[in-house]
Amino acid sequence: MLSKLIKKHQTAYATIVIWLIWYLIHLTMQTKVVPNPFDAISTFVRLLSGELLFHLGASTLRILISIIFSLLIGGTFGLFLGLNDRFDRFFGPILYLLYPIPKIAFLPVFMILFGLGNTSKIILITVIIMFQVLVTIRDSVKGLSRTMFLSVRSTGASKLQIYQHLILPAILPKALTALRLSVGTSISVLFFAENFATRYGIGYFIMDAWTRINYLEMYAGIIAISLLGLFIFKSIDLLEQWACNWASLEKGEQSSYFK
Amino acid sequence: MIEINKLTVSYGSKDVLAATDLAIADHETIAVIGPSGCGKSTLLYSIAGLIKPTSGSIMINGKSLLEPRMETSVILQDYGLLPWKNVYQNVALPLSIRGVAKSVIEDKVNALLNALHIEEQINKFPVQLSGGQQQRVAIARALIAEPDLLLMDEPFSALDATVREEMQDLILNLHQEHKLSLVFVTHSIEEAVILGKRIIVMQPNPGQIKRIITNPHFGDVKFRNEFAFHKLCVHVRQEMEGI
Ligand SMILES: Nc1ncnc2c1ncn2[C@@H]1O[C@H](COP(=O)(O)OP(=O)(O)OP(=O)(O)O)[C@@H](O)[C@H]1O
Ligand SMILES: [Mg+2]
Repeated sequence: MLSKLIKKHQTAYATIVIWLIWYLIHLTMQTKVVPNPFDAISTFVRLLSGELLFHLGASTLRILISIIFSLLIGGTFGLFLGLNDRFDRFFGPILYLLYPIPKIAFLPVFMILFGLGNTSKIILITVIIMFQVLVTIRDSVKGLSRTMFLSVRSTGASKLQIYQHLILPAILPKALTALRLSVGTSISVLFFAENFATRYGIGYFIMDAWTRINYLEMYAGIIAISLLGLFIFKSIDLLEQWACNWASLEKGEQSSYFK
Repeated sequence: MIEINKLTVSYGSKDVLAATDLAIADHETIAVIGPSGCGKSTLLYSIAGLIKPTSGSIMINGKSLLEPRMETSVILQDYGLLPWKNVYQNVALPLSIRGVAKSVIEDKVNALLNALHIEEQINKFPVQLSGGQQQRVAIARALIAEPDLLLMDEPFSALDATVREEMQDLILNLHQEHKLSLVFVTHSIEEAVILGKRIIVMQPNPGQIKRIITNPHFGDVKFRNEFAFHKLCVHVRQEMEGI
């Protein structure tokens, strides 16, 4: 009964639990650093109609633009390398070496090369998400079975139709998973990057509130950045449900095998 | 009419199929059997136009085969169904690719699903089907374009014995009904003898045809239980063991 209710309202359930824990910590610790969650929320709501919305918008825009660029670039190169073994032999080892490098270390370089403004931040986040998307898509294209290719080709499908019926639907769920994995990282990175040479963005807002020792505003910022993350995750979920409902048939049965 | 002339397929310096000649008449059925790696699939894919020969040629109805033909359907070993398409969409694929009108596709798919007794699975995805049902979907997809040539690579190897016999009977009926030529690869001697008017025994290194056995009993309804059936099976086995 209860577990059914939770399953139906997962986000609401999690929110309530987190607020309760937050409130308990607030009560036991009695420090200004952990304010009353209800005060934080009312501050958040109050600020949202002004200043905060502006910062939230700036961050959201940076993330969304980066996601679009990384899907386009990472997707194209991932497909290309996955479908052309000869090129992958040259680029594969290089990618392998670059993949684990924390790209954030290049923020200073990007700022020198592309300026202190939005461009360097967007490029940094694009690079982070792009790598994940590129590697995931390349590997999932390579993992497509030969018989699937042959059976579609035997129907007389053109190259374009092979993309339409075989390659794109096959990689879409994998690409969304890659996105989900890398968006978390990229929000943290954005938070960091927004502390340099900008006066807009949720990262700037939080750190600015901190230096002003205004903890309620700081928490309002934290709530905002959490909502940004939640918004992106939920959008990916929706996209997945809409476009890849077949993929969910193959997972989620593990616990029933394990009895 | 299929004429295969000195067909050679090589990977690198290795001849996987060496100078193979074969003629297949209209409405004939050919079983291809032989040890693993002797080039059975390679021969089948070549006839499908999916592999470019290194040398030699394949002519189908007087035309040189350069790419997959619209009138040839292929069923591959693991069926090659697309996991993101449901039964309807999988079966409709060859027609959607040809740009056939939606209403025509709908009628044809429904008719075939009914004929193959899988109409209840129409909205299911391949993972939700049993092996035998997946097999039927693959057959429906192969038949939807009304082929004159059906190629199958070990189509029944994943099925248990009863479903397998059911499928073999189904294929025999379809062959009679639709007047198509049939070339199929199998590991099962019994299956080769039941479904093959001629049985091609292949041998490896390099892949080539070792012997062609004509099956005088092809098409007998109760053939499976007769003495002649077992005699022919033994004959095929001896040919294979002599490799
Ligand atoms: N893409 C490829 N590249 C290199 N060698 C290949 C390739 N495909 C097949 N071969 C080789 O060609 C030979 C024949 O392969 P084929 O798949 O035609 O065998 P088969 O008779 O169908 O075997 P099986 O019964 O195991 O399916 C094998 O030795 C195989 O290793
Ligand atoms: Mg094979």
